[in-house]
Amino acid sequence: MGITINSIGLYENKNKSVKTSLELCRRAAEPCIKHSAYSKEDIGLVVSVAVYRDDYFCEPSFSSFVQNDLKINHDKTDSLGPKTLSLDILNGAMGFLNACQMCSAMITAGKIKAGLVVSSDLVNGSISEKGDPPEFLPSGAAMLLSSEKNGGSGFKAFRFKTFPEMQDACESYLFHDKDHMTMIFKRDPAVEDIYLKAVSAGVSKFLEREAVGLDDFDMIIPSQISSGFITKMADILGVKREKMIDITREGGNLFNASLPAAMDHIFKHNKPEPGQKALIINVASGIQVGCAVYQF
Amino acid sequence: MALNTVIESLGVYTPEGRLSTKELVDGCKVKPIIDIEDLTGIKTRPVVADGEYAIDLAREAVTRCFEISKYQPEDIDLVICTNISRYNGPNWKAGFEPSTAAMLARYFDFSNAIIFDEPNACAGMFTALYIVDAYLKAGFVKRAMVISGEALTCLARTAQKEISAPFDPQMACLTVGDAGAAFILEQTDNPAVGFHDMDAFTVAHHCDYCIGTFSKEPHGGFVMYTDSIKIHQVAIGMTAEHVGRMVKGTKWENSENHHYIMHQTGTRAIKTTRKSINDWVGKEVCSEKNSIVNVIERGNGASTAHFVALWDHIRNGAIKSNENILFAVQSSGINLGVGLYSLDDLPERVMSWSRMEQREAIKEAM
Repeated sequence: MGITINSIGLYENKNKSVKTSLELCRRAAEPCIKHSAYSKEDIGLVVSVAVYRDDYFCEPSFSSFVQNDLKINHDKTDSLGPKTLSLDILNGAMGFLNACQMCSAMITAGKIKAGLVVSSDLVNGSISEKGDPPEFLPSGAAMLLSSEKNGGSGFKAFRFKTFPEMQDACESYLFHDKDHMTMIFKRDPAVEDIYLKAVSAGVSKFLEREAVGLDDFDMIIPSQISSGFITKMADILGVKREKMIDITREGGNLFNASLPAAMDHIFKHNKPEPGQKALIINVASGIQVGCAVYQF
Repeated sequence: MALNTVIESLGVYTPEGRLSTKELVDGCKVKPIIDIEDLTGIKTRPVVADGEYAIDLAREAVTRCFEISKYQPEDIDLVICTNISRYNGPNWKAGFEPSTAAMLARYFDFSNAIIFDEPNACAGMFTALYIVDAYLKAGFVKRAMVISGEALTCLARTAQKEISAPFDPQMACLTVGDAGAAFILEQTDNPAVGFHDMDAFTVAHHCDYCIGTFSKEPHGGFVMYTDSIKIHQVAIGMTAEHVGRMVKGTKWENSENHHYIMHQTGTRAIKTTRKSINDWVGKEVCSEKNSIVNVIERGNGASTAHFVALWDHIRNGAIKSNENILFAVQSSGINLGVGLYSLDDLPERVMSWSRMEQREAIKEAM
């Protein structure tokens, strides 16, 4: 049984008209669910991976607001029939890949039929006036995952590696600055090179453990940080630039929306053949490298 | 047949400091109209020392958990941190990146594990357990660690400054306590032990009944606004049905069969929930005798509450090896959960560790 992407929804906040993380989320998730093969009742898990969300709520989970907003089994009065568990994953830009694996585990274990992963990182500018700029493009993304009984398509071979010795390169925190709380982003100027150092070690380990080579993959889906970052990654991996999926836009990296946006682009523009394989290489604070295979 | 998930090890750390409800209430600019101690039964709670934060509570709990476990950090395939509190430094510093799990990888070799934070209010550790059960059953991992360090009394400090009405939405902040907890999960081929059944879901229609965020006031800090009446009405009513439906017609409907551990918000809430479950089932599922009440000296430890209660009652001899636990979970969200669990020899191993720790403390004092 393969766990596949059934539907993707994206919302680019081009003119910054959307001011809340919840609204970004809704604009991506509603078309995602509408165009999927599933009804809201079928969604047994809602995972929000947004690290930067409205009012930096720490309780309850942001996903419970999303579940309520989208009216996904939200008003149960008993434990009978279809129901949904909502929870957040907070793990920098690794959250979306973590959530894809979580949905895969929950579906494979038979706990749910379909899972919805949403991302809607948005920094409230009024409390983020110091430190480095957040450097990511606020955007909404949603992906609905379900099982594919026939064929070997879907996500496989998730592997994660953490490099704590590089951790100081990327940090964000709220703190009390004189008379108000403020959000600080700290990025080492060489953070992209630090990520690439981790990619080199992390991908080598992945290829060794999975006993595969980069030639086994038809395309590589990197974190959509910047075009320059993707070019450097191609150089480090020793693969042709054309093999790298690059949908980076001006205005910052796609952060947690990287994977769904890249996948959406592939489905719409690359039109992959059944059996083709993509290697996903994701980087995040920590410093973490996550790899996974997606077979179309 | 699917294998049961079992708690291989458990570690809990509570800071040495104590803060009484009386001290907290006396320190409020505007005192609540309700006698908080009388309503909740909470007399005191552990409180972090100056310079002690959520990450420290988590780290100490993980250290204890590994001391009791047969495993080392590098044996763990999945690490999930569930703390609501991200309070990790002076001036109300609350970290967002890196995740708590990644920060702990500095102290423990989790470098090859899947790591992430999964905060889910007071249900965090239980929902992580529910998720880990799926990873184990799917064959994605062999063992996982769930961790939480809750430095929550900072909420009470802000509430002392901000409570402005005798019946204020920040009153629930005066009930919290600080603690760290960690446990390791794996599968067992012994069908007599482990989780026999578990369920968790969210009734998100009521998601705004309890909200934790940062203070917009000049003094800063963190705040939690709770509609205690509404959240208890929904959570207790639905818990009665959820637990009742899970146990009715099974050996679990007999209170002699198990210990009952629910979320530790207050003694009256525990009593009311107990009665509601018994009324729904029509039998005494939860009695005064089988109900674990840990809130009096611990306060509400949020996501750690069930596991601090389990630890404390193993250590005081009330819960023994091979006994059964009925877990009932309630949190803002609103999340609800039930777990039917049979212990292996974990209590004996925890007691053995406790005796060793006592001997070492005596040696150090000499």
